[in-house]
Amino acid sequence: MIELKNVEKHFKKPIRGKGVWGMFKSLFSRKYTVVKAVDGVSFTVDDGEAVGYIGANGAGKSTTIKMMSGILTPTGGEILIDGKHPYKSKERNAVLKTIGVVFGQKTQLWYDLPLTETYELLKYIYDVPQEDYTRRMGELIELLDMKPFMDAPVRTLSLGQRMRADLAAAMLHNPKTLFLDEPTIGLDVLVKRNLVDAINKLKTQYNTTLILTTHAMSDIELLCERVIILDAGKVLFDGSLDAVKHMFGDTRDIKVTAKTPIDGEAVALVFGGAVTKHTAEDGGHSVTFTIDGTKLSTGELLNHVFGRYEVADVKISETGIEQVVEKIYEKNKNETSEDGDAQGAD
Amino acid sequence: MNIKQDIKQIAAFTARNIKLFFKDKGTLIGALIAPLIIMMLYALFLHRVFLQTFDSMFQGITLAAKTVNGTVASYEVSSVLAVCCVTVAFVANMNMVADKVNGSRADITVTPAKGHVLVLGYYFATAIVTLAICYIAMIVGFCYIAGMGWAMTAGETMSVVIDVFVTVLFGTALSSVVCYFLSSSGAISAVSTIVSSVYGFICGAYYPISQFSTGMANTIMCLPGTYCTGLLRTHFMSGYANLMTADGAPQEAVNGLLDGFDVKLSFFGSDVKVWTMYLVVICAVLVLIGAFVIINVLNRKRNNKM
Repeated sequence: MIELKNVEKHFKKPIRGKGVWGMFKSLFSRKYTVVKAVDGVSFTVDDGEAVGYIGANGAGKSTTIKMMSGILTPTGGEILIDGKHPYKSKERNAVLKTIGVVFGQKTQLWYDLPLTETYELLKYIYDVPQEDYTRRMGELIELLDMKPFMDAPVRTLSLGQRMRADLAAAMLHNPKTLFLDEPTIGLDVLVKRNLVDAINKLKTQYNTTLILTTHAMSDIELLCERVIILDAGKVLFDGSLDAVKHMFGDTRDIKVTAKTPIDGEAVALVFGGAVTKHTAEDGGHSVTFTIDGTKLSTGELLNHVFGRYEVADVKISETGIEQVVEKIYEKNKNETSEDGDAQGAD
Repeated sequence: MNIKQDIKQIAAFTARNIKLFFKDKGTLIGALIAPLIIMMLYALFLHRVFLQTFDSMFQGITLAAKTVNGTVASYEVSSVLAVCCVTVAFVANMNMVADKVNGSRADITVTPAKGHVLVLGYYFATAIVTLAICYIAMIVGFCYIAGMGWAMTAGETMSVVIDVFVTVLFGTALSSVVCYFLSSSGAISAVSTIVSSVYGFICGAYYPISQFSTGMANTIMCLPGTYCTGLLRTHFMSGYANLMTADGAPQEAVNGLLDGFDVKLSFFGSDVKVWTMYLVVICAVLVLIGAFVIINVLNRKRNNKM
């Protein structure tokens, strides 16, 4: 189990003087400003859970991952991985043996050596018995389809191959928890889909706890059942994927195309406030109805329209997680500026 | 602490670093540049200069060609080895800096690899690579001396093998401490160039310390590298003193020549014994390794607090 209790991470950032004189002065007396990268983050992740940890650039996602994986020490608060602190030297190694980390923007593999060399070294670092190593390597090679490039130097691998290899390196010691920091960054659609599928299989097969940071919401939807949204180092939302989707209501867009023009206004009036918006296109032949899913079902609306018009086509789309996240950020931004204005008025 | 596991990890890291060194042909050639330059200098003019020194010191006495050529060849080979053992270590340590530059060092921090495992992995890899290259250079040097005129006893030959070993340990420890503070490829290239050109002078390899002013000679004698050169000179060249005496050279002239070529080192007027030289070098190695481990441990703690 992973527990974060009011975790803070502050960095000292030097303020450099402007111009030549300013630069010269800063050589002798340097001033600093404190940046709160993570500001009072608390959450708990149970064993086997898959959590999407999302936020804008600079929100503090990677800093949190680095603290959870023992690279950085929190300025305040506490992080416990199965009851141990990953950043305390006496407990660090015990924690690191139970976690695996993949950083999408850099590789942990030895650039000039074949993959097998890196895996051999990791075997010794994690003290994996030879029998387990052979069996596990076999499984990972098959699952991640790595056989064709096992003996190739890492620098010759494509980005997709390298990511698979990195994932295998992180899974080699059968970690209980896997931290994935933007694992699909820069990958094309097909490679990305294959990698996400592989992560899903590994997660299911080994019941691995997964913490995923990404900007690709589709990855979150495919891999995670819970989402934590971070902004400016603070948690904005922590809940299930369904909850985040329906945070601003269960809205759906239904686009109906008919052979004769549809009177969108009349249809909307029948269902009252349940149809929140209707937009006509193509001279009224196509109308998009935005409905509140908690008040009106898609079937009810379609039954009504099918009874009155000769329908040629129907497209239904739910509000995606990306739009919801956008709304959350907007809401938070507005609230913050309102607070600022109120404080200014005081 | 699981010592067996630590040893396995150190061995694996050492093997990894050695493979990386030999994968890069540029580094290998770079490591050999300093000794190759010295050899070229000897071939072009220094060899002739040393022969002229002989002629001027032993005027009226005809020494056997084997004695003269063997002495000069031994001086040259000891100089090459004294420089080689340190400069090759600096180049071999490029792996450590490269790991910092490409982020591999930071990546290792997310694994349970212990700090001392990494440090010793770099140290042993550098020492093994440097030893391999320097022993090859030593064998080539022995062949050259044998061709010019051999006078070393079996004991002296074995002592040279030991001297190369301790000098490599010293070079590795020194380069490890210096390279620790470097964080770019440009910086290590600059340092390697400076070391290649300066170290030969300050350890008495390019120019005998006895030819410096007394103050400068005593200052240089405070540096442990000088004693590495002194050990190599002593064991390479002592045998030729007997040959010169057998050829009829007066003892004073022979002693003068040996002093002039740094076969006998003196510090503030006192002769430095061989065991003292070994003691100084071994102490320097231990101090440097200790410093290397301490700065690594301190830096790891500091990084973790950031």
